[in-house]
Amino acid sequence: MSIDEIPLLQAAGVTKAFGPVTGCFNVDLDLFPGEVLGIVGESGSGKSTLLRCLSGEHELQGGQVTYTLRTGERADVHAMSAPERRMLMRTDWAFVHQNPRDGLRMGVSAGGNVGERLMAVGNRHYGNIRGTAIDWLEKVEMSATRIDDMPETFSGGMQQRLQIARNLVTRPRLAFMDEPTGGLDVSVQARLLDLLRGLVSELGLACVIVTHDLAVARHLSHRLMVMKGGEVVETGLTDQVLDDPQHAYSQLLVSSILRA
Amino acid sequence: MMKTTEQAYNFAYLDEQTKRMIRRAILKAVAIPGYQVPFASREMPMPYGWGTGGVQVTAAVLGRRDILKVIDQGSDDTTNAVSIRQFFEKTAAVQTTDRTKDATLIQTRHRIPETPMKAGQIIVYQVPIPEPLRFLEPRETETRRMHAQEDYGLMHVKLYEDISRHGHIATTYAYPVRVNGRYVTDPSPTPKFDNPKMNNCPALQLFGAGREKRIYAIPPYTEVVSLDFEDHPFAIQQWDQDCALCGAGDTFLDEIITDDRGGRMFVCSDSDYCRERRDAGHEGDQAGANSGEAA
Amino acid sequence: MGTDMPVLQIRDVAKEFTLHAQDGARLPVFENLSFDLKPSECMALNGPSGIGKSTLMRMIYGNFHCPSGEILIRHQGDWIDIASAHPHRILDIRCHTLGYVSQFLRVLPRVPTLDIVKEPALAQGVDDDEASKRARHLLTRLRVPERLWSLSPMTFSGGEQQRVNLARCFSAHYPIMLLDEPTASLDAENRQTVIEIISEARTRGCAMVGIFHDQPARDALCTREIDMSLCAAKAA
Repeated sequence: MSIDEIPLLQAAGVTKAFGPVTGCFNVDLDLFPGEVLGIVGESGSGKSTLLRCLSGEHELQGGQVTYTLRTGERADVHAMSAPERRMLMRTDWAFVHQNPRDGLRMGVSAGGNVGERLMAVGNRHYGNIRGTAIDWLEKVEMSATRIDDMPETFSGGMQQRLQIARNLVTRPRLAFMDEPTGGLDVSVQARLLDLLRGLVSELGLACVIVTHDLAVARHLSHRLMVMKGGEVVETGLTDQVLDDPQHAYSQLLVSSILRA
Repeated sequence: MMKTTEQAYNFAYLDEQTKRMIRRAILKAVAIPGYQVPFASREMPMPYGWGTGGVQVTAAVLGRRDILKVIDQGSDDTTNAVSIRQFFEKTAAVQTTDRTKDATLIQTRHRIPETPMKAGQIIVYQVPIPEPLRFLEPRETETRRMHAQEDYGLMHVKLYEDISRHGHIATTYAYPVRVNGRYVTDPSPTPKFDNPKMNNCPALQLFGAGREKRIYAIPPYTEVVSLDFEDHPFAIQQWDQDCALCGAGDTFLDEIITDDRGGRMFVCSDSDYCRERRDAGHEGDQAGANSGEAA
Repeated sequence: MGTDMPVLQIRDVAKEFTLHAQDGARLPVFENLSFDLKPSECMALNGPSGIGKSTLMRMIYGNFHCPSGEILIRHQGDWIDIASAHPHRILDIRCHTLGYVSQFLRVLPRVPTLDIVKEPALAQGVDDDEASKRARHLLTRLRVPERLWSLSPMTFSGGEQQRVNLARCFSAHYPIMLLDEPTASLDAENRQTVIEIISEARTRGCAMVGIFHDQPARDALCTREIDMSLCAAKAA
């Protein structure tokens, strides 16, 4: 990894307000290929808002988000046309929702869900699409025999795996994840985290993960950003922020984890 | 009596301002092949679901010297075809025919005539649901965005699902097509058998959906390709039988139950085409059995 | 790079903790700490418990914040100050330049031992076969039975976990290493093996900073020492 490479994703002064209510304020960040950035904070901290600002879903009141395309060209995420951003969302980017129902087509089989992105970018060979879908189901540790089953028949953890497979099939370089393990049983969470860690490492995926769970952040992220009231109060290496928090709020957050 | 009735209607029922509005929509539709143009669909003297879209399009383009043919499932004699033809006879006093080759304007429900279309003809399709993606994506906001951004992955997902469930693409009518390499369009509930006729057609093809308030069009000689997969290519329906009346082996056949003992026969769905063949001397193996009685 | 060029420079480093939850109580640890380290040197950090030996190690690694002074590391031809470097850069330094043998194996449950040990080498770009070879060699040397290699170390004894940890840290080659009680919880046999492994690294040119409560280990390995009680911070 060359030290002088430019960031894959960069935010400068990102500010988003909902009328008089501040969503997030003056946020800077940069993310390099293969890095996982965790954004932690409690409800209302602005972390989900920030995530959606970075992915271009929210319009900004201030600041800029820049993404480095595969060509090396740096593009302003919000200045892009809707079709360009949509294309990015289908190929180079992934968005994993907390509730898998928000990220899956519930009326389409598992294979159809995983194959959709491939079809959306022009794949027209049924056999190949199906084969790739099977590969990915196995990669996310789901049985290939379930390829024709509807998502309704899957457990929450499996639906989440399906959502992950659906997103990663086009080998994106950047994934946005909003509480990917929220709402899952603890053991299911653990296995999902393992899976994510493995995939992130195998694909060299850069990730922005929003979570309120510091254990998830420690498990997955290299770097951490702590948010409170829409602002970033501390940022740094995950182990540093968790082992030697400097800001009062970070210290409170860390001390709130019950140790075994 | 007839004189009074004639004077009670504007030509072809619609007022001139409405026709103007519809013609504008049609021009836009022709300029953007396959794109669904919204229009201010009027209340017609028949309920939604009975061809009001087709009737409005026909009314807007009909001229005094037009010769109109109206078919329903290939037949000129069904109730709907008869009603609509009489509607225009009454309100426009135009000449009507049941011969495809003599018609200048053909309004159709669910079939394209077997007789090849000629340059200068207009065919008007009655469309119930104009949005090909509707059953996959119920949100209008989403389908509009998909069309605008040429985001048609979902359409192929539907075909994928068919193959995974049935081993083949199970859609047999209203089979989606890509028009002019750009918009994915619903050809109306015509059988997929008819899809090839739409490609590079010399006639102007107009589509009207009254309830949904959309008009779309395919100008003459436009490329129309049925969606498929490389390893599951589009194929039209085939029958083992030929038409029992005229012997045609390459038309869309209807199955007719002839008695209560399971007797059945297959005849051309396009009644005009079948009669033309019989007039020319062709015979099927039951040519004598039923004289000119198609469904 | 000549062996008389330092690879690590600690310059006037001080450390203090502020506990906001306790009305901002300040806990000073040490101040005015400076030293240089050259290849093949092994610097022992001496001093009583609580003096800040582990704290300093963690600061060098970037795990603890450094509020004043500089911690300069020679990384791929440049001097980088850990105290102020971008996290992205520190991650790169930890990958290629700086290794850290902690007292505790950070166990990733459900990951097999062999994979845990291979990981740092793989991250450096070593190919899979070579990484496997090194991992197996070290695990064998450290007497971790082969039947355990496909299991997660979660259920291993403290000593076994520590040996896996050591195998992991030495499977990759680093110019600088931080050793926090590397021989703790090991029996005499394994302790000797570890001393050999560390010695070999030192002979390869590795510069080391270590905390050794184990006197024989310290005597065998260390070329220099620093008494941190000399830098103890005055009470606030």
